[in-house]
Amino acid sequence: MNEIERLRRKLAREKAARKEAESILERKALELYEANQELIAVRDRQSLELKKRIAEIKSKERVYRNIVQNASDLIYTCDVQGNILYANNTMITQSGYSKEKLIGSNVRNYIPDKYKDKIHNFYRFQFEQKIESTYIEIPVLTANGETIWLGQTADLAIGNEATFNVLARDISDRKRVEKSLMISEEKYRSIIENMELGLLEVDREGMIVKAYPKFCKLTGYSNDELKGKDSVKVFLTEEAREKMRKVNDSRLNGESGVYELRIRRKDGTYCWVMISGAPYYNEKGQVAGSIGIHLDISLRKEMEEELIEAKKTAESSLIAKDTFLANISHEIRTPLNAIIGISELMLRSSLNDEQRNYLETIISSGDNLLQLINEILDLSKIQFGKLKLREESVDLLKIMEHIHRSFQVIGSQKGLKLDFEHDLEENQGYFLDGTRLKEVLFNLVGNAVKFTEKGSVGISVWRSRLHDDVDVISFTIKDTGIGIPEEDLEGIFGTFEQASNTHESGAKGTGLGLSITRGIIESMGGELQVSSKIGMGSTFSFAFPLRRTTLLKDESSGEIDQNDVSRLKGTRILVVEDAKVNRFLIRNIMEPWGVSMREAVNGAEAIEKIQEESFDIVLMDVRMPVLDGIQATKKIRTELNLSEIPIIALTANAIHGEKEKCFDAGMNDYLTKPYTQKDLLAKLLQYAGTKANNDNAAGHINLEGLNTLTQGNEDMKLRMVQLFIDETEKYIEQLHTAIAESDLERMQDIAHALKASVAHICSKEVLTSVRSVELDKVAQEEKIQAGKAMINLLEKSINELRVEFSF
Amino acid sequence: MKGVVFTEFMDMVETSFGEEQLDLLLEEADSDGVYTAVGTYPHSEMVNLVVVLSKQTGKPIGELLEFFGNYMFQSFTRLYPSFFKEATTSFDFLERVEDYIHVEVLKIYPEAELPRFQTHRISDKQLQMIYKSERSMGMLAVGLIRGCLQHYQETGDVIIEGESEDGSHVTFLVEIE
Repeated sequence: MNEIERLRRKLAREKAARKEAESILERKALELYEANQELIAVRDRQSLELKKRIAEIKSKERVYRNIVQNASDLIYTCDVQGNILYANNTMITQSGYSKEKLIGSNVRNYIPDKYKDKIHNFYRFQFEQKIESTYIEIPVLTANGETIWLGQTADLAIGNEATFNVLARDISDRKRVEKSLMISEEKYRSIIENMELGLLEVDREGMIVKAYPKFCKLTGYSNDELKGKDSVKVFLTEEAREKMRKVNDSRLNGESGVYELRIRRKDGTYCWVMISGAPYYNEKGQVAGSIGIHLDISLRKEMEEELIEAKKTAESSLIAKDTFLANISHEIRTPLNAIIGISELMLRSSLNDEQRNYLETIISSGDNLLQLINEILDLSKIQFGKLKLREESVDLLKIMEHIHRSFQVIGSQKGLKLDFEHDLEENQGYFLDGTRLKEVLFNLVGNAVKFTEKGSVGISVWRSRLHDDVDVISFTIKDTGIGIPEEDLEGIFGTFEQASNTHESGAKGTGLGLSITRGIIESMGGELQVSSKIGMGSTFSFAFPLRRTTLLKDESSGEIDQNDVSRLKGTRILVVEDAKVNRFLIRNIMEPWGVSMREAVNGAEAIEKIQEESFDIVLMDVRMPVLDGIQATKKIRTELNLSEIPIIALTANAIHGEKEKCFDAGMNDYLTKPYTQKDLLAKLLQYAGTKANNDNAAGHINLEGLNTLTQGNEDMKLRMVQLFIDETEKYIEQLHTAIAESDLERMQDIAHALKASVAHICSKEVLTSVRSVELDKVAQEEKIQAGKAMINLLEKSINELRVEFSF
Repeated sequence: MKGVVFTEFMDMVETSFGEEQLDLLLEEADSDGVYTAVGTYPHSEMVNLVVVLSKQTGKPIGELLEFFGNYMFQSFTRLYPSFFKEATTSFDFLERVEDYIHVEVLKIYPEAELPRFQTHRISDKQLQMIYKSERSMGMLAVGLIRGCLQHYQETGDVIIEGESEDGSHVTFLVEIE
């Protein structure tokens, strides 16, 4: 093969190879182009995507920036040296610094000096230790010089450069609250620690948790000694423990309470405490234990006990005084009674003028003394509220007229006019205590006259209807006297006080009068009022309601009715009285009356005598030695079984309840010492009738009275009997009419008219019947029945009279 | 296999064995001899050429490969001078083959099939290279390594420490003085 061939073949090979390379090149170029295109497309896509993303991010960034800018928290970033790179709006406004001032400035500038290093070290530590997030509370100086507290969270961000991203909150308020809470806590702790009241904390089981200083001082223990101990065992006695358990139970139920306890000190002594206990709660709201505040009331308890003692003493001394008063009055009244009584007796004997004078003086003095004693007793009764009124049917107008007349005389002696004006009805009775009312009026009118030198004293009585049968009567006593100074107005009612004696009349009372008067008026349901002007005069007034009643027969005369006396003739009376003088008195009074009298010196003797003889009436003194009246009466009633015989008590009536005791023992009635002869006579008559009646039990007529009346004049007797029969028959007819018409008032009037004659001629039974028709307040039906019964009895009486006198 | 191997091989045959030899080789190997450095041709063709050359020249295949490896290395230094600038010693260069040179090659010829090398510098004077390739041309690698030593004017040798049966894994030890 020649060389040219070889070269030609080599060339061909080269060419071919070159062509192949070119083709490869083209192919590669195309690949490249296409790859490039793809890349461009991708790039464009990505560019678009990027743009979109960037826009999104920008918008999100705007949102976040807004949030951050306006967050209520302070948000800022700074580099690790503390230079501020960014600060949000809140930071700007809260700090008071402008954005320009803040950005680039160092955080250190805004921190108070004494905190600078501490905070610097804190963040340096965070940076060095690469702690991701920390929290710290720091004070910061604002532009206007204030210090606010920030609670800031700092995140360490390590990017290209390390920065702190800080979120801070203004916690000044919380800090303030914390501080004031601390101060308050301190204050309360100090208060509790030093309280005068002892504080004790116990848990639910009563184990002591803490004892505060004053409590320790009170009980003598130290806090350590008490901690963990059972409060009940340490302080309480057995009795107190039960009480304590109950208290604890209520405490566990969440109730608070106050109670008193006696507790034992460390040294064994006791003291009284007032405990105010309340539960306290744990954070879950369950009762965790209780707190008790203890106040030492030992002193108070002592005082309480002393007071109770004093009260007991006072009360018993009051009772003693009461008893003493009663005894004293009895002791005084007895001889006084004798003085007055015997003097009165003496008056009956023949005396010369001089002797009579002396005697009358004695009597008058005795009366004064008696009155004084009565006033003293009245006063003490009033003071103890024990004044008892004896109410009966009284002619008020008559009383007023009597008083008017009495004082007219006295007044005219002084040149005073005594005026009396009223609107009372004639013969209208009122239910009241006439005696007491007279006392009151005598006192007031008497004072008026006493203290008036010239002018007049006016008495006015006005009535106004309250109900059907109740009137309100007002009394006024007006004088033109010297008057009462204003400062004395209250005092005049005090005991033993008198208005200042700057006047010339020298008039004064016993000093008891007004207070008693006021007391009596108050008991009657009124109130004594006074108005006065110096130099002008005084006006006393009072009023009370009074019940209207029909008047009883006028028994106001003080004389002894001889007719009555004769009815006592032959009555057998036993007088039981230990005082010789009193027996003497009674004897002298009753002997002229023709009674048959026996005496006993005490209850025992009385019982003996009763068993020996029979008596019609027993007059029994209450206070006697050996056996007193009450006991004796009881014996008579129960052991001797004598229930019929009337026993009349002779009492001083000073002690409340004595009357009741008498009645309880079985006595029928009582006479109050000192009693007048008239009183005695009336009482005896009341009970003498019983015996007389028993003799004439069968009949309806009793001629003893008639006999006595006519003194044996048969003619007169006959005429009287005839008169009685005629009159009575007429009345009986009228009664029939009245009954038919149911005219109760008419019936009462008839009975009233019959009463007197019936009393003289008919038996007690008839008299009782008549009296009941006249007086008894009963229903219509009953009244009519009574009227019919009365007619019956009257007719019987008339028949018997006819028989007796053969009419 | 990259075309550059073929073009270099043909150049080597031409310069070392003459143009005639080349013709003969191509004729017997049944190759058209059209190879461009930027192309890619079947590996089996190379193997065939080496085998035919070995038969025609009577030189053993391994020896031919080693010789070729050396020759090619020198060509590389002329063709791609940038690769050789940064490495100052043979060891430096050998260590860079896997991580740098072959990486650059792959950038341009992504489909290139290149052997994998692992290097361990045992000491200043000893380097272990582990060769992995499916083409099992370990002797070529030896030649390249020798060529490298020669280029860096270092005296030394490369020996085969270990070899897998199919020749796909070979451990070389390069020692220099």
